[in-house]
Amino acid sequence: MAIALIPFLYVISTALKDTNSLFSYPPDWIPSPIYWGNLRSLLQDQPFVRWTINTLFVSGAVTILKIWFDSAAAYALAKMDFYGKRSLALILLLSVAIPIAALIIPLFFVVRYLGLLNTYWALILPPLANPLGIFMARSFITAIPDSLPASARLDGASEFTIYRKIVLPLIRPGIVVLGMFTFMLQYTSFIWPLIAVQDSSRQVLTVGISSLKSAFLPDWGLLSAAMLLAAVPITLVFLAVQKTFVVNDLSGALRE
Amino acid sequence: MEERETRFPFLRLRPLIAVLTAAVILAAACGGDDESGTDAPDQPATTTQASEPDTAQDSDGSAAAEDPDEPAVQDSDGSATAEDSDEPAMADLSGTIGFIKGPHSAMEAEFEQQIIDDFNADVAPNVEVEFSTYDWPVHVAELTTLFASGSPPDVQYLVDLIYPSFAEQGQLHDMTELVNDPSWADERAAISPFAWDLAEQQGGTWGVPVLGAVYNIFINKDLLEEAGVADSWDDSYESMLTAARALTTDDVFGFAARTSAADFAWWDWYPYIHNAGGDVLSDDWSSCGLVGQDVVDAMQFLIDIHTAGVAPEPGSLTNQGLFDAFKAGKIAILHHETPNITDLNANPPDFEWDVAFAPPGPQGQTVMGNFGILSIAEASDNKDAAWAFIKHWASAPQVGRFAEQVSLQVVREDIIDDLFAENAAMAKVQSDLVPRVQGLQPHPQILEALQSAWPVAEDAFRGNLTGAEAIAGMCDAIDGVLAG
Amino acid sequence: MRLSSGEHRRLRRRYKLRTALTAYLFLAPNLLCFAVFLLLPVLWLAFSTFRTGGVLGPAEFVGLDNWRETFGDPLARTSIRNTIVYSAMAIPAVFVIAMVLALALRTIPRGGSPIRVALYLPTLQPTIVAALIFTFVLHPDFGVINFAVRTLGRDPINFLGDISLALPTVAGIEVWRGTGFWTMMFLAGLVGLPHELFQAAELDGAGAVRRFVSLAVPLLRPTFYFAVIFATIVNLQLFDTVFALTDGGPANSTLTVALFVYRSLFSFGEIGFGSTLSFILVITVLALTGAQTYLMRYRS
Repeated sequence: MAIALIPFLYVISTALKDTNSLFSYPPDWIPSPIYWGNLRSLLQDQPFVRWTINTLFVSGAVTILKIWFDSAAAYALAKMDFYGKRSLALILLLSVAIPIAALIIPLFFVVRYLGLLNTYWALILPPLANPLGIFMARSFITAIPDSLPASARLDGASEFTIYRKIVLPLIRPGIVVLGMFTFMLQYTSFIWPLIAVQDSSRQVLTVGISSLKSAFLPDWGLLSAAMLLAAVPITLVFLAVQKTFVVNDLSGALRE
Repeated sequence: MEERETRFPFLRLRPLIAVLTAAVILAAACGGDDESGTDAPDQPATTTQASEPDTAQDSDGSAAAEDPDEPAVQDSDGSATAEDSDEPAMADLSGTIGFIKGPHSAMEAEFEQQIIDDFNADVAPNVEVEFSTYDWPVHVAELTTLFASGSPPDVQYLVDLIYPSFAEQGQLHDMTELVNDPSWADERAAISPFAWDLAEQQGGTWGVPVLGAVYNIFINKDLLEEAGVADSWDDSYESMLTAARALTTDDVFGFAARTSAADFAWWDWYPYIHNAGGDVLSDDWSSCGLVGQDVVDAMQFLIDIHTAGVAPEPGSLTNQGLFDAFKAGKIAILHHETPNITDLNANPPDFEWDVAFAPPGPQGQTVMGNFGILSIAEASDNKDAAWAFIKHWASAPQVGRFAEQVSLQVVREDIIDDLFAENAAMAKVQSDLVPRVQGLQPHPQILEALQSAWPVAEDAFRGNLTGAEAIAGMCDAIDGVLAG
Repeated sequence: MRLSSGEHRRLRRRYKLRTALTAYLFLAPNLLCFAVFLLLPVLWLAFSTFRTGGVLGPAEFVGLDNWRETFGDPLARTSIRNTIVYSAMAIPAVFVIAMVLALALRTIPRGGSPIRVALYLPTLQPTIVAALIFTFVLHPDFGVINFAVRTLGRDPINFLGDISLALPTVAGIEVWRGTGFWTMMFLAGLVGLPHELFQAAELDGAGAVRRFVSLAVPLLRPTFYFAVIFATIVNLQLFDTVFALTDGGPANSTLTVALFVYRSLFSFGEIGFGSTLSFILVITVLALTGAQTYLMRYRS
C-alpha cells in the first residue's frame, strides 16, 4: 500500500509548492505555507476544465454506447440461435487479440476517409469496435438460466422486451464492471486521441497533460496540479463502484 | 419488473433506440466529407472543411501553380479581390486563417494574441486568426496528421529540422514569388542571407525565416573562479576537460550536456563536429559527412568527458533536471538553450552566471543554432490573408517584441542592435554567438538521420564504444537512412 | 389443428429466419463498428504491407519489399526482442505480486475497502501521469528509491539512463500500475470459489499452501486463462510509458514495437514499413493467443 501511494506524495507536494522547478535544492518535502497558485492558474489560464469535460464526455459516451452495443450483442450470442452464430463468435473472439496499437495507421485513414478527424466521433467510435466487452457481457448473460427467457417467450414477450426487462436488470452488477472497465480504459487512453484530434478545444486530459509537459519550460508545479486534479474524477467513479468490481469474476469472458 | 428498471435508469432506454442511434451515427459518419461539419458536436466555423485533399496532393510540390499576383484565381472570398489592383488592399482581406506554432514560453498564446491584435488593428481588420500550438516532442506527428487531414492551418511555424520533409511531400506552398515581390524587397533584404539559404531548398522558398534558437553554454562564474579556471576553461577541449576535473566535487559536476535523443541532444554535439570540419551529411548530401580524424577525435573527446566522472551519468537527469541542477549550483558548465535565460533573469540564482560557447576545435569555433520559418500550407484556401499575416509577424516590431519576450534570436539584421537592451546575456548571445552559428543541413530526412544515428552516441557516451567505433556506427545509420 | 409437414417446415423456416433477423438486429450496432473500425483497418493493414507511401503522397505497390526490409531491419528485430523481454519480465512479476495480495486481501473480510482503493489508484492513472510520477520517484537526488540507496552509502542508481536497467525499470513501473487491476481480478476469482471445499480441506489438515496449490489453482484456471491472454495482448502493445519516459532510449534499449510503428508512420512517413511491423504484431498476438488457448484447453 505504501509502495502504491508514496509516488503520489511527490505530486501532491509539488502541486502545492510555489515553484516552477521540478526539484528545488535543497529539497523541501512539505509545502509550507500551502500554495494554491498552481491549482488556480491551472483552472484559470489553462483549458483544463475543457479537457476534463471532454474526457468525461468522451469516456461517458463510449461507456454508455458500449454497454448498449455489447450487452445487446452478447444477448444475441448467449441466448439466441441463429445461422452463423458459431463462426461469428469465433471471429469476434479472435479479434479480441488484435492489438489496437498496431491499427493506428489504418484507423487513421478510415477516420480520415469518413471525415471524422478532429471531431469527438473520432474518439468515440473506434473504441466501440473492440469485441472484448461482448465476451464480458456474454459471460454474465450465460449465467442466467435459459428457463427465464424461454418462459417469457412462451408468454409472448418479444426478444427486445426480454432483453430489456429480464436480462439487463439481472446482469446489472456485471454491467457496472464492464462500464467501469470501459470508462477506465477510455479515461487513460493516450495515443489515439493524440493522433485523431489536434484541436486543443476538443483535446482530452491525457494529451493535455502531455502538452503541459512539453511546453518549452515546463512548469512542474502546474503539471503536478494537473496530475492531481486528473486523478480525482476517475477515483470518485471507482469509489462508487468498487464493491461491485471486486465480486465479479471476469474470467468467464473468454470461455467458449 | 418495473421496479428493477428504475434502479438502473439509463438502461431503460429501448435497445431499439440504441440500434437506431448506431445506424444514424454510422450513416452520418459514412455520409462523407460534406456532412462532417454537421456531425461534429461543435465544429468551429472555420474554413470549408477538407476541400478535396486530392487537389492539394496533385500539385505535388511543383512550384506555385497559381500566380500570386492574381488573387482572383483563389475562390475563397471573391469579393475581397474585386479591386483592379495587382496587390489586394490589405483592408479588403477577409475570412479566417489558422496559425500553428510550438510554444517558446508558457505564455505563448498571450504573446501571439498581441501579434494578432496588432494585425487586426493595423493590417487586416476582417481577417480572423485562429491560433493553436503543437507540442514539441510530438510536433512531427501532429503536423503530419494535420497535413494528412487535408485541412491544415494556413500558416505554420516550422523549424529547419522538419520543414524540408513537408516541402518534399508537396504540403508547403512555394513562396518564391511572394517573397520576391518588389513591394516587400526592403523587408526581404533585412533578413540575413544565411537565413534565406536555410529556407530555400529543393528549388523553392518554403517560408520566411523569423526566429533562431541558439544552443549555448551556461557557466557558473563563482565556481569557475573558485577552481581558478575562469579564464582558461574554454581555451581548448583539453582545458575544458581539465577545468571540469578541477570543478567536480562530491556535490558539483564540472560539465554536463544533453545526451538523450528525446532531448534532441544532438544540438549539444553539433558544435564539436562542426569545429572538426564534419557534418551529418557530406557536402553534396549524398552520404554520411562524419569523416576524417578530426571528427573521430571530437567524438572521442565527448566520450572522454562523459566517462571521466565529471558529468552526471548519461540519462540520469532530464533536460529540465540538468537546468534545475545548474540553477542550484550543482553544475558548473552546462550545455543548454537560450530561452532559459528568461528564467535565470526572473529567478536569479545565488551565484554569478554567464552565457558562453564551446572551445575552438581544429577547424573553427562554431555555435549550433536552428531556425524557424513561417510557411503557408499548399492546401490553404486563403493564401492572401496567410501571406499578409506572415509579413506582419515577420515585421520588425512584431518579431522583435516576441524575441525579447521569449529570449530567442532574430534573423533580421536591422533590429539586432536595438534588442535586448535590458538583457545582458541575450545581448551577448546576439553579438558573440549568433555570428558563429553554423546551422543544420535541411535535408528532408535530416531528422530521421539524427534519430537513427543518435542511439549509437548514447551507447558511446556510456563508455561502450570508442570515438572511431561511434562515428562508424553513426555513419552506418545515416547511410542507411539515405539509402532507404 | 394439425399442420402438414410442409406447413410445419415452412413455419419453422420462417421462425428461424425471424430469430436470425432479430439476433442480427441485436448485433447490428456492434458489428457495424466492428466492421468499420476493426475489420476494415486489419484488411487495410494487410493490403498496405505491399505498398509504400500514402500519408501525404500517393501510394505505390512494392510487392514484398516491406516484408524483406522489416525482417532485415536490425532495429525492427531490436524492438521485437525488447517487447518480448519486457513482457517476460512484467507479466509473471505482476501475476505473482497480485496473487499474493489477492490471497492476503481475501482474509480481510471487512474494512478492506481503503486498501483496495489504494491498491487500485495506480491502475486508474493514465500512463502518461504514471510516467511523470516516476520522473520524481527515480530521480538521483530526490527519488525515494535513491534516497534509500544513498542512506546505505551506495551510489545512486541511474534507473532510466543505464542501458541494461532501463527496460526492467519500465517493466517495474508497469507492474506498479498493473498490480491493482490484477489483484482485483484474482480476488474476484478467489471470492467466487466455493467456500465449503476449502473448509473441508482445512478440516482434513491441508495447509494454506497446499490448499492454494491443489484446490485454488485448478479452480482458478479460467481466471488464469483470461489473465494470461489479456496481459499478453496489453503488454505486447506497450507504448505510453516508453513514449513519455524514455522515447525508446537509451541506445534503443526500450524501443518497443508499438513505439517503432508510431515513429515509422508519424516521424518518418514510412507507411509500408510501419504497417508490416504492425501486421507482424497482430499475427504474433493471434498466434500466441491461439497457442495459449490450445494449451489451456488441452491440459484441462
